[in-house]
This record gives sequence, structure tokens and C-alpha cells, in this order.
Amino acid sequence: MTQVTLDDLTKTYPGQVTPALHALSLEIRSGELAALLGPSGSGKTSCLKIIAGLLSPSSGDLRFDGQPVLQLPPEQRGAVMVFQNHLLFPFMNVAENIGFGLKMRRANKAEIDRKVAEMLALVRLPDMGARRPAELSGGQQQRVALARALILRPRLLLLDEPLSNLDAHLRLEMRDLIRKLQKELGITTLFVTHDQQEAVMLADRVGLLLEGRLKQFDRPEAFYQSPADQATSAFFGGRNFIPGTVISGRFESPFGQLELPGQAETGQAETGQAGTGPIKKGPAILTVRPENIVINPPKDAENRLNVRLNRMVYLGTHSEAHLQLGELTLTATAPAAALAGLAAGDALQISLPKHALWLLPG
Amino acid sequence: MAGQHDKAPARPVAQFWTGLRFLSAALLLIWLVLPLLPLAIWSFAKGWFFPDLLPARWGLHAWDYILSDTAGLFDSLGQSLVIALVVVLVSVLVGLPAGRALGFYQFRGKQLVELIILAPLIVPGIAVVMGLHTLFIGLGLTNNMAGVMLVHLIPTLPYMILVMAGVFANYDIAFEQQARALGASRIQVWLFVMLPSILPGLIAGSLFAFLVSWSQYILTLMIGGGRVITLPLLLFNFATAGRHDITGALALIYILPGVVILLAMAGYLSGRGPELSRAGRP
Repeated sequence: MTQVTLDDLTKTYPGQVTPALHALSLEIRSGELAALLGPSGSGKTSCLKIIAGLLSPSSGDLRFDGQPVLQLPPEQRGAVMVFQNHLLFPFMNVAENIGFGLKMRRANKAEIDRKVAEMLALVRLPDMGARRPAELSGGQQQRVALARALILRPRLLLLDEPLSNLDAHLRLEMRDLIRKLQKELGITTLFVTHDQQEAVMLADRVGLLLEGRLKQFDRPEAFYQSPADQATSAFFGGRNFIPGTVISGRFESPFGQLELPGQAETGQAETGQAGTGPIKKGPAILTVRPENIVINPPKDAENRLNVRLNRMVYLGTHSEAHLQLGELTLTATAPAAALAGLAAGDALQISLPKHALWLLPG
Repeated sequence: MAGQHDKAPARPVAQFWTGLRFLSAALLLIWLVLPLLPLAIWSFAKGWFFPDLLPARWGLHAWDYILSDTAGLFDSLGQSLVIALVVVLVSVLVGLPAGRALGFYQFRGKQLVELIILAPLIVPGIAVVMGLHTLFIGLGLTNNMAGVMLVHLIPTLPYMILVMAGVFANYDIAFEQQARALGASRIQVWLFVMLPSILPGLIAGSLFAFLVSWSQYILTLMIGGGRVITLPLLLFNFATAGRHDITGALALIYILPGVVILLAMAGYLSGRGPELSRAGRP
């Protein structure tokens, strides 16, 4: 169980002006399963390598349980990294691969054999010890790579894109396995991924990295309900952004005045956070999730707007309505049945319920 | 065999190719083995003169002679072996890091460096050694084993470096990072990850270097100054003296390492390739 602190970590590669990683500060709680999410090139793998000790940061500090570790070589940090493409040593069999770390620690052979057998059972690959890595499927290789790391009982487990090389049905199985092992063994874990789905379904808390900067580090729900800014919201599928100004508890938009929830009222559903975020006045961007827009609301609904239906997209379980609001396009989703009968070109009324609104910095 | 799965009309074509393959294999074997046959016959002959297809009389006297103390075979064999082994060792020690640098890193003037490394193979050895001779005299490196070993490195190093550069160009350094991330120290990474991965290439390069050193004549003659008598020098002595029987017996011993290495390599190289290059790539 290790608490990990990243303090203003910055990495600028030689010959480059913009840092790959920009003043990243983050605190991962002991026993937590945290994710760093970002598109490729956002600096997330650099971050993992810095923590593992395979890369030196340009500046900043890194502490495990309050102890600085940047001066330590990788083998003394106790942070074990599992690479994206498994990297099982092809000249060793599965058991030798899993036992590699213990052999490097000069553990005795009987102990290695016993622990390898334990790990093989844990990742549900008993009797596979004598196989060559090339004889295993991608999912099996991934499990061997995980076992090879977990056998060391690391202070910190680092996973690079743990699910992205797997087929859809294997991803769910692997997710459950990672979560189960991580909770059972209580190993603080940080993984990086470019896939928001992967981050949301696996992590206790997610950090979003965009262009080397940490946008937000929060529970997965927060990215949907209380995103930090427009880019963050957009990364998680937010598509409705209305510019305007907050004046004494109301939102002045080009389409009229909109009611905001009061301090005492709850903001977006289930966040538990009061109001609409930190912005109390001045320019702002109002956002509302597509599923929270009400089409054809009752007469007394709050924040009603007149829009034109551009297009309907049928998505099986639900439909997506693209709505024209002045120069803006809003997207609303609802059960397919509820939207049946609407046609492109129809003039509609929508409501933006107060409790579903969230303000982003403008 | 691609032909096996083809439809019926393709069969005669497949048979033709199979036949051609056997024919070419047979020709190659004959071409390689046939020149050795007279050597073997000579070594057991007691006089073998022109129109005779086979020697009139047979005997073991050539073998008796070369195995006797006066022939100097064992001294030559020992010197050849010691020189070749030291040359291989030094070639590995220099060629491995050099090949790693050339295979891994891009740097300014890399092509020029590669050309300079290749140069000794392009320039005839005798031209190189003429120039080196005066230099070696000044350094006291003539007429002794050390000088001969040093001069043998001129043709062996380019082979070794180029083989190792090829091996490292296909080697994924991420495996080393993975090993580090699993708690291996630098030295452990070299021993347990790099070495097993490059072993096939390292062995192939070493065998090349061994054979190149083993078969050096002119470089040994010039720098050794007649004091260092390796097996090729001994062989030439008897060949120029017209002793075909003794030459034949010596030649058979001389080609022995080559044949052994060829057989070992054929089995080894077809059995496993540089696996690390193929696995683990996304």
C-alpha cells in the first residue's frame, strides 16, 4: 500500500519547445486504482516511465509515501510497469517469464516455483507454465504480463493501455480480473489509456491529460456531470455548449435568459456538488448533457427554448436529435419511441432543466 | 510445399519445381564436395600419376608423417587455434557495442562510419598489410602472436560489427526497459535479456570471425615474419614443395573446423532465428 505523489512533474524532450508533460501534480491514494486518460501524444506514457524510473523528468518531484524516489534506479523503487504490447521474453517459457523478477532478486528456486504456480492459478492459466509466449493468445499474454508484475507484490503497479490490445469480450473479462486482483492484493495502481470507456469502467479516479496538462483528476462520474472545462467535457462526449454571461444567478445567453439552480439546490444530478460549479459571475459556457435535454416539455417547464430539428439519428436503443438553436447545434438523446414521429425541419420546444446545467469557464 | 494444395492441373508444374530443387541441391553438393575428394585420395596415396584414375598404391605414410613431431602440425594447430580464439573474443568485445550503436542510434556521419568499417573488406589485404608492416615493425608487433592477432582483426571486425548491427536493428529495446521495470539491474539486463536475444547473431558472427582468422595466409605471413606458423602457412609450405600427399592430409585437418561450423550453424540457424525481433511488436 503506497501513496504516490506527483509534484509539478515536467518533461521536455531534447530539441522540443513544448513540454510533453506540463507541471503534473497528482496524488494517488494508497490502494487506489487510478487512470491517466489522454489522446496519443498527451504525455501519459512519458508519465508512467518517469514514475517507473525509465525516464528522468526535466523538473518536479515524485514521492512514494512521502519519500522522494527520483534518485532511485528503477529496480529500487518497487514500481513495476507492464507495457502495452506485453513484451513477454520470447526466449523464456511462461513460468520463466513470470518468475523473472524474483530471479533478478535472487530468490531461491523453490520459492520462485511456488509463487509462479500461485500466480498462474490467480490469472487462471494453470498448466500453461511450460508454453512459449508465442503459443498464447493476446488475452493470455496480457494475463502473463500481469502475473509477471504482480508476483513481485510491487508498491505501485503501472499499466500501459492494459485493455486496448484485446477483443471486446476479452476486455470485460480482463477488466474484472484487474479490478479483482488489484482490490484483493491492495496494490496501488496507475494505468494510462486513450480510451475514456476503459478509464471509466476500470478506475476509481481518472486524470484527464490533454496536451501534457492535467485537466481534471476526479471520480469517473464527475467528467460527465461536473467537467472542468469545455475540452474536458467534449472528450467525454459533451456536445452542447452555449456561450453567455452569468449575472446575479442567471445565465444571459443570445437565446434569452436561463435560470440557474440556486446555491442550495443540487447542480447536475448525483454529483452532490451544489450549484453549477465554481463560476458565480462573468463570461461562461453553459453545458447540458444530451440525455438531460427534454424535448416537447410540459408548459410549465423551466428554461424553454425554440429550436428546429435538423436531423434524427436512430441508434437502436435510443435516438439522437440534432437541434438548431440560432448558430449553435445542440444534441439531445431520448428513447427511440419518445422521438418517433418527429421529422427533420420540425419546429420544436425544448427545456434545459435547472438541475442538469453546469457552467464551464468561458 | 505450395504445390501440394494446388488443383490437379498444377501438379506437373509442382513436380518440375521439386525436381529442379533436388537437381540444384545435388549440383551444389557435388560442387562443394568434389574438389575435396582428390585431397582425401592424395592423403592415402603412395604415388598417383597421370593417366591413372586412382593411385597405383595406397599407404598411410602421409598421415604418419604429419602426426609425427617433426611435421610441426600440433604447434601450428595450437597457434592457429589460440590466435583465432583471441581474435574472436576481441571481435566480440569490440563488435558488440559497436554493432549496438550502429543498429540502435541515428547520428551524424553514421553512413561514413559504416563505410570506414567496411573499408578493410574493400581494400585488398595485401595493400593494407604492406602499409601496416612498417608501422608494426616500429611498434615491435612483428614476428609475434600479438601482432598477428591484431592484424587478423582487420578482416574480422567488419564482419562482426555488421552482423551485430543487423541483429540490433531488429532488436526491440523496450524489452530491456521492461526488464528494468521488473527490477533487473543494468548488468542483469545484459545477461538475462540482451545476451539471450542476440545469441544466434553473436554465435554466427563469432563463427565467421573464427573462420576468417583461421584461413588468413598473407596477413599472417607478413606480420608473423615466418616465426608464427599457423596451419595455412604450414599447408602452403608443403603445397609449394610439391608434397601432394602431405598437403592433402593437412588440408583435410585444415577444413575440419569449417565443416563442423557449417553443420552446427545449419542446424542452429534453421532451428531458431532472432525471435525477439518478431515478437512484441505492436
